[in-house]
Amino acid sequence: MWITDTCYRDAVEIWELSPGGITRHRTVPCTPSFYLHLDDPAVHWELLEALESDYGAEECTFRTVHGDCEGYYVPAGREVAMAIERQTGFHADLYNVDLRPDHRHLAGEGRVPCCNEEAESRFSPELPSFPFRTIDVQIRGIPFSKDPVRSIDVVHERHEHLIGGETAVLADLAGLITAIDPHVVLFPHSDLWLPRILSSAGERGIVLPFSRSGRYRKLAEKSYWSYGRTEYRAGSLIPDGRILIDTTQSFHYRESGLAGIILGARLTGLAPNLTARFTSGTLISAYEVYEALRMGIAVPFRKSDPEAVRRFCDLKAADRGGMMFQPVPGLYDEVSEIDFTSLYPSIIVLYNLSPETLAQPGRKGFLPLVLEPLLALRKEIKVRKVSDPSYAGIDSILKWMLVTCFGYTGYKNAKFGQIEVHEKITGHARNILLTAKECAEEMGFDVLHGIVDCLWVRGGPAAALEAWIEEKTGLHTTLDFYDWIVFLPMPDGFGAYNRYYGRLSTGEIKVRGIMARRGDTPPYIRTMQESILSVMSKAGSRTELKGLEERARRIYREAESGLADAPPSSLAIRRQVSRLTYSHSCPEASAVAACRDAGIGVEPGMEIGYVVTDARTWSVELDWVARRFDRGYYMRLLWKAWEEIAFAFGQVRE
Amino acid sequence: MGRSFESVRMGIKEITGRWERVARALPGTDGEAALMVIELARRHASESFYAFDDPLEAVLFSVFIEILKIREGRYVDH
Repeated sequence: MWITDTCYRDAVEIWELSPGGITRHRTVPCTPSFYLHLDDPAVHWELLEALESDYGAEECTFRTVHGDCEGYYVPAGREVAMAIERQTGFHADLYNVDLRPDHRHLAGEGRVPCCNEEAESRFSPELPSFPFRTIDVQIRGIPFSKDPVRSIDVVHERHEHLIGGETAVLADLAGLITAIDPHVVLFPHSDLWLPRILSSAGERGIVLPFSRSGRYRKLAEKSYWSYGRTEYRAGSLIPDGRILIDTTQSFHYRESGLAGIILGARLTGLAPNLTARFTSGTLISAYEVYEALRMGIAVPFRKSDPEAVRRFCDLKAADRGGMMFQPVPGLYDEVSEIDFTSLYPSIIVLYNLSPETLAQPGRKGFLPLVLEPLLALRKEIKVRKVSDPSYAGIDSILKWMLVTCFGYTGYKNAKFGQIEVHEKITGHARNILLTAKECAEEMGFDVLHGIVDCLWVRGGPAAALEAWIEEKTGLHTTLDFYDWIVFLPMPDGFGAYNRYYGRLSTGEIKVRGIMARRGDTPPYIRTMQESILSVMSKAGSRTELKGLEERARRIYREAESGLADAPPSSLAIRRQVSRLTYSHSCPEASAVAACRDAGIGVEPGMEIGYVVTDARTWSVELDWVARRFDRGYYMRLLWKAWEEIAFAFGQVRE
Repeated sequence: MGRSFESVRMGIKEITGRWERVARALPGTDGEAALMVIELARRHASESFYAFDDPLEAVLFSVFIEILKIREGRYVDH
């Protein structure tokens, strides 16, 4: 049986797929409970007596990551836990208070969604097989516009094109969903479309059977701060019993596909509907919580291990971040890139770093224990990905979960994090990159560039160097060879850390930080730069590159001369707005105003597509209604994209 | 995540920004020499954060290394 969906409404509800392809729904009664520890129980004797008489609280010993803890088992919900907090003046340590009951239930049973645990391990490196019927639903139109829905494409075994008035197409869609009875619905912009079409169908007396029970769970929209950016998650209606993925909004679907979502659900124990919508940070946190519950370790409600008081100079010395060696801008031949695989989580495992091992370094830490199988899985999948690109999706979700597990150790609300662990990880990482640099220099290599977990060296085949670095550091690395690579300059002339491109020995071009890679580059300009890079990928050496300059320049000139006739939509810039009020004139401020004028609600972190119509006043039009653009502004963007490429040809000429 | 305080790199940028303003005020070749010193000061901004807390210590260290390289003929113009 495959669990396809779970939720909690007074009881845990589970939808399971039988081997015969039939979905069954079952309900499991579930009593909420939590653990309580008080440093001085005698002080709170009245409270404890009331908990015993009113809720049946019992004395017990429970496990935490720091060891066994004397306390009380309280069979009551979150409201009671919060009342205890208030009554004890926030001196109570509470555990297992804010867990999802369905998540907790599955962990207790040792089960996870999307996995037949009897036949396979959830850490299996095999690509998840899908016993699923999947359909693709695409509504033609702009979800924000008020135009009626007249055209819907549904792709399953056949491609159905539903056209007509809104009543007819919605009735046809309802009929198709009933007939196909899909387990998975892939639907671009579904989070925006679904509330609208459900309401419209309801007004017309049509039941759209996305939900198996007719009920939907609401995931509220929210703006949040992550890695220095304001992000936005649109509100969602999650149907019961079917996996509905907004293929446009879901970061993990875009990066990892359905296979990634399924692996994410297996690892975290969360329903795939949530895996598709949550951030990598929430996924790794859910994974850690699931593992803790599975091991019988209580999960703290609020952390009570504040950072120790330190002198400011000690704080500065400890919190330095990643190591970098700045490159000298230029074009370099025959360069090797040595990349430490999942460096930060590998350090957590290798050096046994966890909040509880800071005080007790001899014991095996919780974080290393739970990250070890994830790391082993990632290493295996990376190996398989080399010969089979279909592993790229599941590699990606693992990569993102492992990347965020480090950041999570420094997050104030992380259940199993502590800032000192965060600092120790970066401290080890700096020494590791320095060790790698020393190894390279001792073997006669020139170190061209280094950034946190990656080193670029020149001076011959680097396989022996890679082996030596692995031996010296005890960490796994991967090696890429570039026929040539370009490190671009910053405006002050020094080398940029994260703007480079080059041709790998496989013939593939790898780019970082340039316009072809940036998410806010208009498609017209991206296409121009990608076309030139594609031409440059034919050059295996500096000399061959020299012969391609004219072809590259021609592509740039054609883009310049064709700009006047380019459709405005190809010049759309897509950016996340960090706020709703701006003190200065800028395109984002104009885009927010344009959305408001169009009756579209905007929230911080939301991505808006706009076309600049006058750069002097930063006037813009929304991408789906834009009819014109500021040619001079886009000429400058084209020039900027060309400049990144022209730098390489300038180096060749020199 | 972490906390926010001025990094050594940011401090180096601030110091060399001030030096640049002074360089503009210096006469002829003195200004040119000052700009060169500024470039030498920035050369090791990335690596110096590894052990320095004081950006002034970092810029002086960078300038000394590069002066020594110039004297020994190992200087490479960016």
